[in-house]
Amino acid sequence: MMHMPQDSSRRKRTAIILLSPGIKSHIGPHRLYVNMAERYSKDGYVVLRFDFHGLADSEGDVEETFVADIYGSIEQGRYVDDVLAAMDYLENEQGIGRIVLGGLCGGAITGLIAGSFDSRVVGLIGLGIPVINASTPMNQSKYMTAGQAASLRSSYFEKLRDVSAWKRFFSFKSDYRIIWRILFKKSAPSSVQPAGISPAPDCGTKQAVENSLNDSNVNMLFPQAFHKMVSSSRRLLLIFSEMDRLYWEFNEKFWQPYMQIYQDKMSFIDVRILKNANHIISSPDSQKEMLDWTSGWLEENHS
Amino acid sequence: MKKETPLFFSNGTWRLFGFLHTPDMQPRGIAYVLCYPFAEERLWAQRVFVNFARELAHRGDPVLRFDFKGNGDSEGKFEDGDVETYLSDIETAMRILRAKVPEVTSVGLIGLRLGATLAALAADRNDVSRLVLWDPIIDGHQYMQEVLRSNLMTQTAIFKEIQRDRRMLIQDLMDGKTVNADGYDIGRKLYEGISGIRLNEQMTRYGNRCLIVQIDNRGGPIRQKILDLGNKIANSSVVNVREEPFWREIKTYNGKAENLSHTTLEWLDSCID
Repeated sequence: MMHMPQDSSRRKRTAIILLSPGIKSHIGPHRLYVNMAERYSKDGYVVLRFDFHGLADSEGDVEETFVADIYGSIEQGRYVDDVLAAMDYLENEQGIGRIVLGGLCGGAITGLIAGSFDSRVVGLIGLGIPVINASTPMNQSKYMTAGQAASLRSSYFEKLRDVSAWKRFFSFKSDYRIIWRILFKKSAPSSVQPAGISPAPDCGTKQAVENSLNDSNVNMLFPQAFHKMVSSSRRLLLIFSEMDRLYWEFNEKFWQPYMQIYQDKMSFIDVRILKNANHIISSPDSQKEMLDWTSGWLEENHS
Repeated sequence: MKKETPLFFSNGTWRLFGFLHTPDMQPRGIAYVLCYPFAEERLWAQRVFVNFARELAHRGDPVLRFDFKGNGDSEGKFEDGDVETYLSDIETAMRILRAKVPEVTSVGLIGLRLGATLAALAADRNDVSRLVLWDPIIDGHQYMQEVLRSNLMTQTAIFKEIQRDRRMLIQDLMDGKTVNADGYDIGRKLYEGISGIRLNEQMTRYGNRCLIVQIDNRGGPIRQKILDLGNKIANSSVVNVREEPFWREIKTYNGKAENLSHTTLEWLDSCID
């Protein structure tokens, strides 16, 4: 679906491609991408939304049985070629060779990886970008951040009065490793050392970061692509929802330990937090704030 | 060659978006309009709809699947839609299908969940030759209460407490405000329209063949309300199909609903004279 600027005289020389989240379509949860596209096209941008192969309206098939496995492969760049094809299409059909990629969750990590491969990508709007691997066999309790553990602990205490939660517990459907860890094991405060991650390296090199992250459940493509984008002066706007575990994971496993490495590149990195928002940015107020932020960032950097 | 043509078509002042699937052979005479379920259920179910539409087209039956006003890629805001606009959208889609594929002699409706309910209501007041209801919503009031529950759950997740309880949310709706459920703004007209649906009481005229499918992942007994609906529609068959609830976020990926698809296609074949 292509959105053309309402006022062609205000047409910008940068186009935007919105990348679908997870297994959802180019519409996005609760039509988020429709609203984003309408806002950006009103601002003068050509906006393209499309479906990755095997999903929604596109051709192809998905072979996986479990959604988590699909998510895991998305985090490993499953749809990067589709993004490159979409950029070729925009370049050939619209003559636009400067692209900002945008997306929520799986769409965001796909955009980051694709951007690291292709210099036509001048920026990324990443909403709730995942930094860890999400595939099924992972022992999530082992790598839980302090923020996640605190939130889950409070939620489990609330569930003590919930009959259906007890039924689930006794039907062996609960993840007992997670329950054990958050209720009975003390986690280290995040300011000391995030769970599942080594202390930040002394020297500020990409290799040192990678060596340090290898022991954690961080998706290694994330720091690699992040580094490649930022070191080549492409701009990143990363927006997280305050109540989203993906924010804690980003902050505790990557950003806090390693932001010092990027001190001289901070003008290219913009990290913002949506207060009282959830992963899919479902509240109208949060969505409006996100649209204002992204629209302002585009105007400032890519008009 | 089979074709999938994206198209916009007008219904009054708004434009609806859809996909027309046309077969690579002479159409068999009947064509189908697919009616998506409500709000986020539509997104989760999309791939099943796409694959089912492709199967029908492969067998020689044209299909139009489309988004209701304010849904998917169609124009309008979600809160602008209501039961009457949705029914009007189905009627428009049926007309468009006949216009786009002149060989079509009759139109059937296939819907899921609230889409099934709307298909049934549209069939009750239009010329519809086949009706397939996949797990229809029979009690609209109960359904809307479930929708409101998702607002309460979101409040709990974000604020760790319920700041506006169910009674207050309903009062908000009565005062003309919208209530957000999973990101969708619901207005009073839509809330009252869906809440007022009692499918078992409203189906009075439809007399052609109808398949009612209860979708159940445990193979349980057919619910009484589904059986009652079957009794209400004279020329109907009621079956239970074992299938995951692919219109919700579940752990397995369901690009196709094999059992549902097989049962439905078999029944459609049995309808051919």
